[in-house]
Amino acid sequence: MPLSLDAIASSPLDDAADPQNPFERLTRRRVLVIATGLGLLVSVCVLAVSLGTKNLPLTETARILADGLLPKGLLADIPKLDQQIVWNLRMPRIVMAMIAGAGLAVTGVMMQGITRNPLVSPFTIGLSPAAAFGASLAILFGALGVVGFGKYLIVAGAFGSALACAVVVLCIAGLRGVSATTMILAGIGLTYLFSAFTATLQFIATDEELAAIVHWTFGTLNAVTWDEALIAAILLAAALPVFVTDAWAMNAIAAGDETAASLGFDLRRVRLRTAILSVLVTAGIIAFTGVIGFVGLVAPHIARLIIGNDHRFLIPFSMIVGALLLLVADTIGRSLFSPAVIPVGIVVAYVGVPLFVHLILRQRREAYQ
Amino acid sequence: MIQIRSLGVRFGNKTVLDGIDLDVPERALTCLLGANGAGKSTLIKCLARILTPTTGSIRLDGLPVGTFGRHAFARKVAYVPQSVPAQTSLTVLELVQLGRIPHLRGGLGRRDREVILSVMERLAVAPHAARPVAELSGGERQRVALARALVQEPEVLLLDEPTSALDLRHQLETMQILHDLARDGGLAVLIALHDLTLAARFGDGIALLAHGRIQGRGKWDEVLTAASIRDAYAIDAIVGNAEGLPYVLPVRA
Repeated sequence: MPLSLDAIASSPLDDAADPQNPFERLTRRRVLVIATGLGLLVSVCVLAVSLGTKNLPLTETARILADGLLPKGLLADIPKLDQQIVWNLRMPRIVMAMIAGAGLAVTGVMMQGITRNPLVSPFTIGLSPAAAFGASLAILFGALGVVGFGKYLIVAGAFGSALACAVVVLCIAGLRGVSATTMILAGIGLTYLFSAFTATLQFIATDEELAAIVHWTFGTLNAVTWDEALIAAILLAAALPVFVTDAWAMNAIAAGDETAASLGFDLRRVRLRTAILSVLVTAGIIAFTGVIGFVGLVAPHIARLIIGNDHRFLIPFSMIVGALLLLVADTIGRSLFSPAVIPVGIVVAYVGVPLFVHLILRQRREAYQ
Repeated sequence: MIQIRSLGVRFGNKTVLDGIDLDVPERALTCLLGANGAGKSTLIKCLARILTPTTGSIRLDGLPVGTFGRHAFARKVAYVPQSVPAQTSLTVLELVQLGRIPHLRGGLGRRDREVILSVMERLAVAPHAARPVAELSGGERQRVALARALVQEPEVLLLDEPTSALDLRHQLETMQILHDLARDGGLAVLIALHDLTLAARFGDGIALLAHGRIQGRGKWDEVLTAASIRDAYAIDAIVGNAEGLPYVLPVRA
């Protein structure tokens, strides 16, 4: 049978009527998965708000949340104290948990995308040891003693140091054409270098400083303020449109560099842009929270195992998974032994790893070939 | 149609291609032959704009290829690499639909999906739509890669050894499909091939590369002689005809 593209293009097809149509089947399933995830996230969010030293009934929590979100005065009779607990104490850390989870997850997806390597996250290029070094440096230079601004000195130290590390890694990788291997190798090198820096600082730190350094590296959402959540949110919101537009580029890169280039992508530019934005978002988050590295690696994979590798769906869904993972972990961490709070950086591994292993065992082996 | 004039490629101080003049006409299947390292892949990658030639010019429909935007160029020229990474995470459908990227404004539209499904039907990969590409055999993977390129609805189709992983039946089928695409679809098709018999049988034109230069071009019987094959491949070969079909039989190295 002779083949011509004209004949191909004019052949009739009716999506909706054809149950065998793979587009219809796959898209419907994926949209359903994303919607379910969003619903679950909202429910967990309300539950997380209601839990704490003072447990609030769910209906009351929902009412307080609605009152804050709706125009004033629609809902009456809400106790001032409960309102304060919800909006000033619990919501900032819950919002930050979701932003951090979503941000770390999506940057993990993007970094795995551009390197075509499932073991990569922004932390592979040495961000967390670099941030830890910056924070340690700030602590050692007396940030603990600076009233009011001390916390922000640590944040600035962590952010600046993470960026410096990223610049070095990207420059090294850039000289070699932004290949995945160079980026990973340079990152591993800097990871050891910054770990050594931090260890050196710990070696000369006082007991109080040492405790502060170690505590910072746990990764915690304690004492997160609205301002901090806002800054992290702005960074994520600025990067997200680029990530979403690059979904097709990520899919194309998965098919190989040559294929992607022949489809019209400037791979050098895509890789550099993705890496820079991922670094900014990640550094912006961990500067406030400390090291919560695991989410960036595991949330993308949980998302992949559930929804597949098409980045058009993977990007939004991995954000939902990351937000859920961190929110659940933080909520468990602060309610299990309440009023004591276990840092979320620790709990997230306890929560995430069993789920991760369960999904790996349940899936067909091909997902990881 | 593609016109290549005095094209040269150097990697460092190693000259890979030198003084290449070649036309790739539409409505024809042109086979690019040559030993390993002769520069076939390099030439094809230059035409696909994956590599930039050191010297010379490439024109598409009379215009220098540099004047086309990346996506505009990809709407005209599709390239099938030697292999898709075996560990790719994509499913068959996800890989094939990539071919629509140069045409997209926003998401996949109705026509995009029609093209994708028809090409997948024609190349018999539709039943595998939801399977991971990593699960497929090498031959199936090559067909999927070809489907992805056809979905681009190109005017020029460049293929780097599209039959290397195929069994005999699929080699014939693939070459027949490419032949039909050229003849009936009006495409300019350029294939780098190792199989001289397939080239002689299906190629409307043949270009033989040796030592970075075009050693011969024209109809198969003008290009493929015992002498030219000895020069290009360093083997003795018999070029013959059986029941009206040409063949090239390698005898000894």
